[in-house]
Amino acid sequence: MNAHLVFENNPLQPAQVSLLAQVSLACPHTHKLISWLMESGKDLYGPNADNVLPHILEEVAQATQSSRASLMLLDKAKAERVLVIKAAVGFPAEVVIDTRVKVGEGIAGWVVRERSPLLWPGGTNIPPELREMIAREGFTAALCVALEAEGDVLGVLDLARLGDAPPFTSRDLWLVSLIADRMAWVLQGERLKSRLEGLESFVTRILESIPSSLIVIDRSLRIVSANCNFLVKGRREARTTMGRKIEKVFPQVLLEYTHLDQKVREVFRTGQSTEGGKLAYRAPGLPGRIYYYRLIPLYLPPPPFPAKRGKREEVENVMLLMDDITEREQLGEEVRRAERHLISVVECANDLVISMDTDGHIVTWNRAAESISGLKTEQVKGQSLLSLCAAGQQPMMAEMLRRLARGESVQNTEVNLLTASGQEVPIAWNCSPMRDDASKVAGIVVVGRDLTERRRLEAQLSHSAKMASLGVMAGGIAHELRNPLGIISASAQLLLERPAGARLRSQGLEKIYAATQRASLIIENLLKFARPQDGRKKETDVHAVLEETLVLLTPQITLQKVTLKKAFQQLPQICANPELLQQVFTNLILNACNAMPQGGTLTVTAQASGQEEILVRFGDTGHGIPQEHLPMIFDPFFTTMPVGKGTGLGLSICYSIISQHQGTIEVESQVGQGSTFTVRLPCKR
Amino acid sequence: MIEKSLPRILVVDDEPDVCWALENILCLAGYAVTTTTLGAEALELLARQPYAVAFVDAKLPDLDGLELVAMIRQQSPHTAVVLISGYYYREDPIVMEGLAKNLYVGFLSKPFRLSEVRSMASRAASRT
Repeated sequence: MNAHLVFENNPLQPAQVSLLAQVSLACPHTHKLISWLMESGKDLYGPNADNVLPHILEEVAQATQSSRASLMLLDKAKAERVLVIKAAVGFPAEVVIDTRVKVGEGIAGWVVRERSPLLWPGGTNIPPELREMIAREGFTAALCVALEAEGDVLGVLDLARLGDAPPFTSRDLWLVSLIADRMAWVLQGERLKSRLEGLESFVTRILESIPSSLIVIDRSLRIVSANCNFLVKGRREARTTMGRKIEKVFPQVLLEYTHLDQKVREVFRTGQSTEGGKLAYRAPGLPGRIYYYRLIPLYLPPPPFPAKRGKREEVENVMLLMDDITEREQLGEEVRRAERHLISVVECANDLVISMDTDGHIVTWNRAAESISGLKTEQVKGQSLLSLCAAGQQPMMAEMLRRLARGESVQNTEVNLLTASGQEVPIAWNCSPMRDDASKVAGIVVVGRDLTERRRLEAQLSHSAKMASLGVMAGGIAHELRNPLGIISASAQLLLERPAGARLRSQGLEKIYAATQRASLIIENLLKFARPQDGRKKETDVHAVLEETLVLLTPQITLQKVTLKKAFQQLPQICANPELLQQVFTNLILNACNAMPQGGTLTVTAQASGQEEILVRFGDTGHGIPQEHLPMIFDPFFTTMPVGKGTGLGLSICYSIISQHQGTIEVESQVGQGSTFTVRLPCKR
Repeated sequence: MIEKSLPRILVVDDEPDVCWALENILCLAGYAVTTTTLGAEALELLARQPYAVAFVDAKLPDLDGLELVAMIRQQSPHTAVVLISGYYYREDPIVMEGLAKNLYVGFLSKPFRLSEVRSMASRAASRT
């Protein structure tokens, strides 16, 4: 669109043309003016208004025999509307430069304000102060008309005669009005043109700076426009792109793959945008890029008159918009790879890895969880982990989940898991809350280790250690057994020698009987101790276990000149494995005796701390444990005994057994004073 | 007269029933027998009157048997000692060492044969 179009839409009326023809014969200047008016859009004096209008003004001054003529335009940039001289004839130069007329002042100001032409003498509507002013200026005649276009006043064409010149005629007014109209149209066109150019460059700047490739395609599938981004990414030049068919610009293989040509035609046909999809495009000599493309229809500008009803607006061009998503795609691929990696880490783990919502409902359940429990993900999804725990231990798991929901983490807590076949599997749980970006607890992740195998190995190890302590006990047991054996043997021999002695016989038989009882009790305790435990926990009287252990060990204690002091309080029953506890007590007592090779005092105390826990203490007056050994004494195979004497397993097994009972074992020791081992066992089930 | 000629034997063992058995065996063999279950008492008895032989158990509740033996040897060198034990065995280095040092004249492990006890007693008694 340009200024010519405006003219073409505003032709002169035939009556005006014939009148103009008559007038033009009178004077060559008028003739020139009329040619300008008649030529409509043709540029007689150059391409733009700045060149044309001063020439026209001169012609007008000549044609109307004006002494002075000026073209003044409104300066709209100012808040106060002011007229500025654009071209002038017959004025001193300094007047031309400085003259600025406020709207409402002077002849021109009045014409702009009133939107009415001024003709003097002859005009009827001229206010007295204006007449006075004209008289002061020494004008014999004045003619001023507004330049109006589309209802806007752009400026004025102001003429004056001096001296004894005759007044302006109505024909002068008519011609000047026509010229003013035409000038207004030229100015308006000029303004529209510059606005359009501004707009065009604005749009171009946007198109060139958006980080998307953009081409416009016409109906013959030729490229009519391509932005800089497209040309750079495709390593193309504008001259080898514009006007080319798309199949000459895009590689054949890409067109076949995307059916781009068909899709463009489709958009022309339907007038609907398409969400294209991805396309991979590799410009020669550049690495391949991935684009997301869309096809958008561009419509013809709406016609100035209303379109006929039912007639569809026509698609003039189709715009192909290509967003480079290579980085995003690569990032997506990275994310997917990281995701796959994480999934396989979780899936390949030997430990159960379970994620839950904050209420403890299972969300994911890894392969290890499936194989240990025998339950498939589909069977457990949405279920509470609580319902999959051994009935007796559910309160413990419930407490664990409550703590997790509060944001605490839970370490190494043992709760048995129920398998599909109804068996219980011992699991050590390590759980932590998962937090969202706002550090709010969004879920729970738990890692569980199947302790079955560990328990089996521990049992094996603990059995070996027990056998080892049997070796230590052998001396005491031998002594203890050979005494009754000695008595039995001697009595029997006496009876054989003197069968007649009645008193000797009855005494001897009594001694034999008592000694046999004693020997078999020792054997029984020994058997109990040596028997492999079944690992089950049951209601256990810790007091009884302690007494039994002491019976078994008293020979050893006595043998080593150790004085035993006992102080046992009333103890509540606890859920424990008595064989395992006996093993712990045996170990601690034998250790205490070994710490006192010259004899000493072993103090065994047992007390209940409320209903919470049971404390059993074993204090010796032996050589004590050096400070530097304290952190290691519960480590497996740590021993200070000569090779072959101790396995170094005793205390580590005690530690493991007490841990299995959710208890603790601690030691206080002072070199030369003795050591005290404290076992704490919780009463809670 | 007869009593005077009977050699006196002291039995020290923490087991009263072992004391009972040894007392019967040795009485029947013609010895005058005194028994005690404590080492300290044994030393007192030895201080009061001489004994030809002392049967001493290696493990006593108040004193170590071997220590007691040494003390007896010092206190009454004329008393021959026989070590009895259910804990040690004859080939124990500690037992062999005592024999070599002449701390005791014989070693009797539990359970023992009566003939062994008697021959040990007569052998020991004859040395004094």
